[in-house]
This record gives sequence, structure tokens and C-alpha cells, in this order.
Amino acid sequence: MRNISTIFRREVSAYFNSPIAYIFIILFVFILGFLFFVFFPFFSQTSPDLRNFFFWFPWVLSIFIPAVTMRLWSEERRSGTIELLLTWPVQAWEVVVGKYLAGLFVIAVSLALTLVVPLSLASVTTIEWGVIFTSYLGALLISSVYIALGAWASTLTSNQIVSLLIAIAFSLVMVGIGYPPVVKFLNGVEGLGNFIGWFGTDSHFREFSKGLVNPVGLIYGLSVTVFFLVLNNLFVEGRKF
Amino acid sequence: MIKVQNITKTYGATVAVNDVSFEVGKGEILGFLGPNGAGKSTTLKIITSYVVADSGSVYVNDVDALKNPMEVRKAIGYLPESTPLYMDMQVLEYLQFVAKARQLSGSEAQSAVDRVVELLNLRRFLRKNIGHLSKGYKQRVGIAQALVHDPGILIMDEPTSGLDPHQIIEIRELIRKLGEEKLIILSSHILQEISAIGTRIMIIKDGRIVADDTPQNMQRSLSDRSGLKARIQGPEQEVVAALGKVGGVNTVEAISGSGSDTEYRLTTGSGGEISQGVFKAVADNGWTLSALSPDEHSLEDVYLELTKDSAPQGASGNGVAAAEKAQPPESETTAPVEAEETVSEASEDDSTAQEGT
Repeated sequence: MRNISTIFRREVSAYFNSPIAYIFIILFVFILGFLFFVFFPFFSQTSPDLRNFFFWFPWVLSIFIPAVTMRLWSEERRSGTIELLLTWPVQAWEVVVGKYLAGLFVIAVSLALTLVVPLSLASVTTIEWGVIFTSYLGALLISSVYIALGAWASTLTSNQIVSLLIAIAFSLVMVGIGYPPVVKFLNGVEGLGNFIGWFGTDSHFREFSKGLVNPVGLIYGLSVTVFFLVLNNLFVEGRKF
Repeated sequence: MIKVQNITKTYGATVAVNDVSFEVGKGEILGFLGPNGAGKSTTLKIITSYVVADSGSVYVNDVDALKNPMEVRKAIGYLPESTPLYMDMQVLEYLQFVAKARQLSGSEAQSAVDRVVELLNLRRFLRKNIGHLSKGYKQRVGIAQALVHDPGILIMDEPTSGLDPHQIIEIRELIRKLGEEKLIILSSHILQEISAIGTRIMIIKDGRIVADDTPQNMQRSLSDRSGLKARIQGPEQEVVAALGKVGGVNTVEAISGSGSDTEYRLTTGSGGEISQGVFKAVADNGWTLSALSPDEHSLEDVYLELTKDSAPQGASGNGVAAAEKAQPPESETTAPVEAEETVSEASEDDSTAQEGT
């Protein structure tokens, strides 16, 4: 536990010691705000509706999170610091978990700051805070999936940009397979779309954004996260670098 | 104490370490010497449990490094090649982080960091970003990192590479001082480096140990084949003929100069005294002897011979035996400068080949 906390604190300070975290958070809040207040109302000719706000989360997160996770292992490999890290009396899985939690922390802070959007609407309309809560819970859950995925992708290469692109590609697939039009298309073969779609992040997140805390969704998020963390650990332990 | 038994490691088709065994005890400073890509770093990585050997075993203080890597890591301080550090961290912040990763408690960590800061003279730089330090100070931070937990074993991969001469001397002094109470293994591809600090030299080539002895013994082993250098003013062919007849002289060879002022190298087979005979021969013929000096084989020669590509595989153990086996017969008549050139070219080729894999 102590080792995980040591790694976690070092990683969080690495994010906030450099401009990365700040740029990320500002861009993230700005883009979500832009999509919600400007982009969506323009096309739908309606006033801002919070359901549309959350609609974008799985997509925006799938592109933004790899930018946070790309450095986690790639940078250690590039600079060679991984050789020190893994010859200190720290287990590989402790490092894996510490790094994952640091990524989760940065995303949690970013998500918390997007609360300004619902808060800014609170004066003009009634807000269902229960729905807001479950939506954010869902957002954190799918973020966790993307972070674990991105951290694993980052073990594959010492080049951060390559790691970013791999993670974005995988993350987009994770959203895409659960995206309703894709599910509908794949359902051309009986039930195939629903089956594949279950592994995507989108369908589970939509349940949460309706105000439902579906245990299946929770299990989905946690188990996919654990799957990628285990993969991450295997790649670090069986390293060829 | 470190006991390495028959470790082998291959990367694809390349055998990086080939059945290497050795033991090192406390108070020894073992210098690992060999051309780039010879397997030095891989061996060190296996001892520090960063890389797992394909076969063989490593015991550190009688603890099996494969079965209990965490125990072994606690006993070792390690400075990898090219000193990887977190450049975005401040010196103090970094050392505190390392102390925590080394599982030192709050007050232990504080005094441990203080100790290494004093030892490596880092006090002035505590609040500086590591990335902004000079190369020499980065190296100090790297060594401080390896010493935070006051390990009994210190392993350093090329600790002085890239430093300026002043810094090299400082680091060497430090290593020598640390060596009084710790077991130290350091690697280098530079011979002077190792012979300056090592109490024991191990030469590795193509993943095998080709020599293992003290610097003094290695040098002595070759003194039998040493001889004289003489600068003589006289007709070259006659001089060669006359010197060849001197008792105890094995070979005579003109190595530089021309005409009436030439430098000759004489070798003796028995190690006997030949200078008087040479002097007499020169005087008898009425030539002038302008210089006469001993031509001792240096450690450099041992190293170059052993790490030549033509060195026989599998020669291991005693440095004397290995050195003599590695000595091709024609090299007795080859000028040293030429020998050096061929060998350094060979080792460069070797290193590029290894890096490419």
C-alpha cells in the first residue's frame, strides 16, 4: 500500500509539475463546454439540455485520456528510469496500480471541474442532481477503462506519440462498438450488435446518464479496468525492454 | 557477497551472456571490462534482477535472486548506464522519493537523504531541477540515489562515462572510499578506469569471461615476455644480426626510424637480463646507443589481446593462461601501434553489431 502511494504521489506531481495537466484540464473543460453550449444547440436548434452534455462524454474522454496516459510507461522506457524503478524493492504491480491511480486522479479533477456546466444552469432550470451524480459516476467508470487501456498501450513503445495513437485507436473502438448506429448495423446478424456492443463503453454509460446505477455496468467497468491492469502488469513483468 | 553461477542470456540470435560464473566478496572492487556489447551491462542487469537470465542462478548474500528478488534489491544500490533520472524533479524531491521507494520511514529517510547529500556534495542544488544540472552533478544524484539505503553492494554501469577529467577523478576517489566498506562492481570499456580503482579485473568478451585477476597479476603475467627498446645509430641489417646473437635475445625487430638512427625492439624468451649484452654488442661494433629502455607489456596489451576478435572462445579463468592462449604467434613481430588500431576497429565493429540487435 505504501509503495502504491509513493508511486501515485510521484506520478501526480509529475503531471502537475509540468504544463501537461493544466493544458489538459483547460482544454477538456473548454471542449465539453463548447460542444454543449455552442455546437449542439446550433444544430438541434434547441436550448442547452443536460442530456446532450453527457452524450459527448464517452467520445471526448476516449480521445483525451490517451493524452494523459501516454507518458506513464513510454517516458520511463525512453529515459531509462524504468530500470531504476524496477530494481527498487517495489513490485511491478504496485507501480502499475500507482500509475493507474495517478491517471484516474487527473481525470477525476478534470471531470469535477466540468461541474461548472450543470452548476451554471442551476439558476435557470431545475437540475436533477441524482442524474448528474450517476452520470459522473458513469463517466468515472468509463474513464477508468480508458486509463487502464491507455496505460497498457503505453508499455508497448518508448515513443509517447505512438503510445497516444494506439490508445486513441483502441479507445475509439471501445466507444464505437457500443454506439447505437453501429449496434443497429451489426444487428443485421441476429443479436451480434448487442453482443459486441456490450463490451463497448457507450451503452453502459448511457444507462448511468439516465440516472440508473446498473450493477452490470459497474461490473463491466471494474472488470475491464482490471483486465487491462493485469495486461499492463504482464507486459511490464515480461518486458523485452 | 555475490555468487553468479552459469548464467546465460540470449536476445534472439545474440548470446549476450554465455555461461558466466564468478564470486565477489566484501571489500572487493570488481572492474568489469570489455568492449561495448560484450555482455557487461546484461550481466549487471541480471544481478540487479532487472533482467531474468535464461538459465543459471545468482545469489546475493546467499539469497536466491530469482526466488526472492525483493530481498536482493534491498541489498543492492544500482546506477544503470547513462544515469537515468526524472529530469522534472528537484534533487531533494527526487532523493526523498527514492528513500520512500526504498521503504525508509520518515525520520530514517530524512537522515538518509542528509547523509547522501553531504557525501556527494549536493547541498547547493537541493532545489534545482535535475534536468538543469551539469552532467557531473547528474551523476552525483545518480550515485546518491544508489546509496540512499546504505547498501552493502553497489553496482555501477559505466559510472564515469561522459564526465570531464576532474569529475572522473572525483568519482574515482569516491568509489575507492566507498569500496573500503562495500562490495562494488563497476563496468567500463576503458581500461585505465578499471585499473585505477579496481582491486580485481574481469575481462568479458562475447558474453564470456576471458580473464579474471588482480591488475598487478595480469601485468606480471606478461612481464616474462617483455624485453627492451633500444635506439641505435648503425647500419640496420648489421645491428639486427649482431643483436640477434646476444645471449637471451629471442627476436629483434626494427620498429621505427631509418638509416643510421633506428629504434629496435628486442624480446626475451626467458625473461633474463639482456641489457648488458646489448650494450656490449653495440660498443664492440663501434655504434652509438642513444636510448635503452625496458619494453613492458602494459595492461592495455592484455586487454587488447583478450578482446581481439581472434581471441579463442571459452578461454576463461586465470588471466595468465587466457592471455597467452589469446596471443597469436605473429603478434610478437607486430608493432604495438598497429595492433592497437586493428583491435580498436574490431571492437567498434563488435559494438555496432551488438547495438543493431
